[in-house]
Amino acid sequence: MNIRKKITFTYVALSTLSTLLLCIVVFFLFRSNNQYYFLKRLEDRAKIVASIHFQNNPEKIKYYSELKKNGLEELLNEEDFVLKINSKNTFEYNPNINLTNEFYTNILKNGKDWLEIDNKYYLGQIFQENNQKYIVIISAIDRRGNETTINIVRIMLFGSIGFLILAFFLGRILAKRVINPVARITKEVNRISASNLHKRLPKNSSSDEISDLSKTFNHMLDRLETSFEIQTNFINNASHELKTPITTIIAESEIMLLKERETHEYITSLENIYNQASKLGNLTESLLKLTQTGYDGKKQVMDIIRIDELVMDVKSDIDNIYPENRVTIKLNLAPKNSNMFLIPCNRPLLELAINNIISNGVKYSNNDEVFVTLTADKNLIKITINDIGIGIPPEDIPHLYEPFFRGEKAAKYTGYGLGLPLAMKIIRMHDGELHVQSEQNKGTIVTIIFNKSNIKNSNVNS
Amino acid sequence: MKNFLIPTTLKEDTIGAVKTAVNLAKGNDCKIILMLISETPDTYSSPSSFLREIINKSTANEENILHICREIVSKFDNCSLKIHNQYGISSPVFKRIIEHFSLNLIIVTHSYHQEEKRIIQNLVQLLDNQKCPILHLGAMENQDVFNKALYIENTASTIPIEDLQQFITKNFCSQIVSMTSDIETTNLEEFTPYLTEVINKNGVNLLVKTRKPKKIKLKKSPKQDNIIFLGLSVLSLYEEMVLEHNFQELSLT
Repeated sequence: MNIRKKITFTYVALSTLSTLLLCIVVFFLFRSNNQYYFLKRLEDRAKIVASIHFQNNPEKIKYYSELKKNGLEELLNEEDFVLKINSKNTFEYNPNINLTNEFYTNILKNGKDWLEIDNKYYLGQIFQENNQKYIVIISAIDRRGNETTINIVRIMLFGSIGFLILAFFLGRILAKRVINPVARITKEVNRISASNLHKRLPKNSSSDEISDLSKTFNHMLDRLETSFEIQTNFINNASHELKTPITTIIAESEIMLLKERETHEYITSLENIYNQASKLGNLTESLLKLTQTGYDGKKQVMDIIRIDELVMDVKSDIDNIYPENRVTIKLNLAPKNSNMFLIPCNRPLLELAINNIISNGVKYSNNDEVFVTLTADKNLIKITINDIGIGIPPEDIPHLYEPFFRGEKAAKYTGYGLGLPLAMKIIRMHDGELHVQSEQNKGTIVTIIFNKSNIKNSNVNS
Repeated sequence: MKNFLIPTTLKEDTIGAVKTAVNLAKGNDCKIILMLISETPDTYSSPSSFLREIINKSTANEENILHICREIVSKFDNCSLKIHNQYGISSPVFKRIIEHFSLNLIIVTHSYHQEEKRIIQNLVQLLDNQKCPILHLGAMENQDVFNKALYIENTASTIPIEDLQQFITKNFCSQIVSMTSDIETTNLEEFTPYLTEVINKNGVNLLVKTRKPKKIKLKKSPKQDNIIFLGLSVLSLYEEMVLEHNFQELSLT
């Protein structure tokens, strides 16, 4: 049974239960109400019978009899008896009434009692006149009460059936409403497979459980995509990213080997080579670890670094590879408190990502100016990389993050189309966003935003 | 003025704790308070037995350690040493002690955690609910310089890293270089290799964690904190205190 049917049936069952309970309560209340009013009527009659019995004045007897006969509504099988009480426990018995002893005992004890046998009500009450007690017994059939009871049962029966049918349709509507978003998500998720892992479920603005579900799905897809692509593209990524330090090492050694040099020059050069080699080591290790564990964002020990320092390091790396670059780092908008720039991250990887993006700027603008602007406040850290290069045609923008994608214009520059996709993934791992705005032949603006956790409000002076 | 409290049983590592305190003072005026704690003697029987019981009997070894501590402190003009004998402890009493000495840091030695006396275990458990920062010294020797810290983030922590960095840089001359999520929630055994690798690579010599107020039930065998096993010193900070502190700084400037 699917959930839609389950919801419908549960709804119908619950409605039935509540209707049934309501019917039972109404039925019993109605019956006891009927009984109460019928007994009240019998009591009135008992009073009149007692009055007739005690009267000595024949005029008054006649008047009361008339009143009883004409003034009150006639009851079916109405009978009345007056029994004289002789002592505490004895009275004059009338053989015409066939009632239990218990009934009489109760009357003698409490002064009043009633009894119902086959829809016929008996009411007994004690009256006193001139120190002589009498039991007055009135009996009649409550025909109207019976009829109304049957009527109300009938109404309730048909009402309940009607209501159940209504509940069934309402339940179906409810089930549809509940299931629809889930069904939609299922449909969307079905479209996503290994070949189009970059697709995401549409964002829902509301904050209900369903949008939580799609958010969770999207997060899962983010992680899956990242792990999946990093694993499948490990060799590509590794070769691509290791190229830079290796180029530096080769260049450095070549220059040194051109001619014989002073010792201190060798030392400086070897230091440089050592630095690049250890960077290479770190990078390989990070990439390997990433490939090995995938990325779940939790298990890692993060480095706490200042993003401005990281960008400075990137700049000095780029200086080695593109000595004529014109990268300018602008810090004039930066906050006074340098702690604002703190970010927990995987340092080698983030350095790699930012390096890739800035290098792209340098490469595709033919060593023209590239501005890197750093800003930070309580909620986010923003890096803007602005170049005046060849730009990206609008039709290429959706494919930017696909590995090995190369735009037509970019074909004359050396590259493999691996830098940006990897950078994107690394930034996403750090809960960051990467936005690319570009106009052809004018330039590109790449914005990297790292959101700090929203709930954590800082008191640090900005 | 910096004031340090060292609850102690005058074991060997008290000397290390005193050295740490002197280092952390960094030339500022500082008062180091050694707190010796013992149960309140029975007062039912007679006042004289109470007076007899209450006299502190310390062994020659303990006297010796105390002497060494005094010598260390006397080398520095800015530091002074004070011995405080405490009989019985409770949360409010402890709070008053912190207020009275206007303490900046409580230093707890490794051996103090291992003590089996009931009252000392109670004290260790009471520590967690005080607002004062606590430095749990690790089992390793010569740990009196802290400059690189690993921040172990509490899962429910609400304190931003920059606040923590500001506080630690200012008060402990230390930098947070790495952070990780709470170890208790993940599998410690699986995680330890990563952690030790980072600690060795970055030269981490201090762990920083934050704590929140929680209800304390004094248990007979208190749960050992996981991260103490790493052998490093652990600085435990009360989140609200850090935020308040930074807020005050902010309003001063």
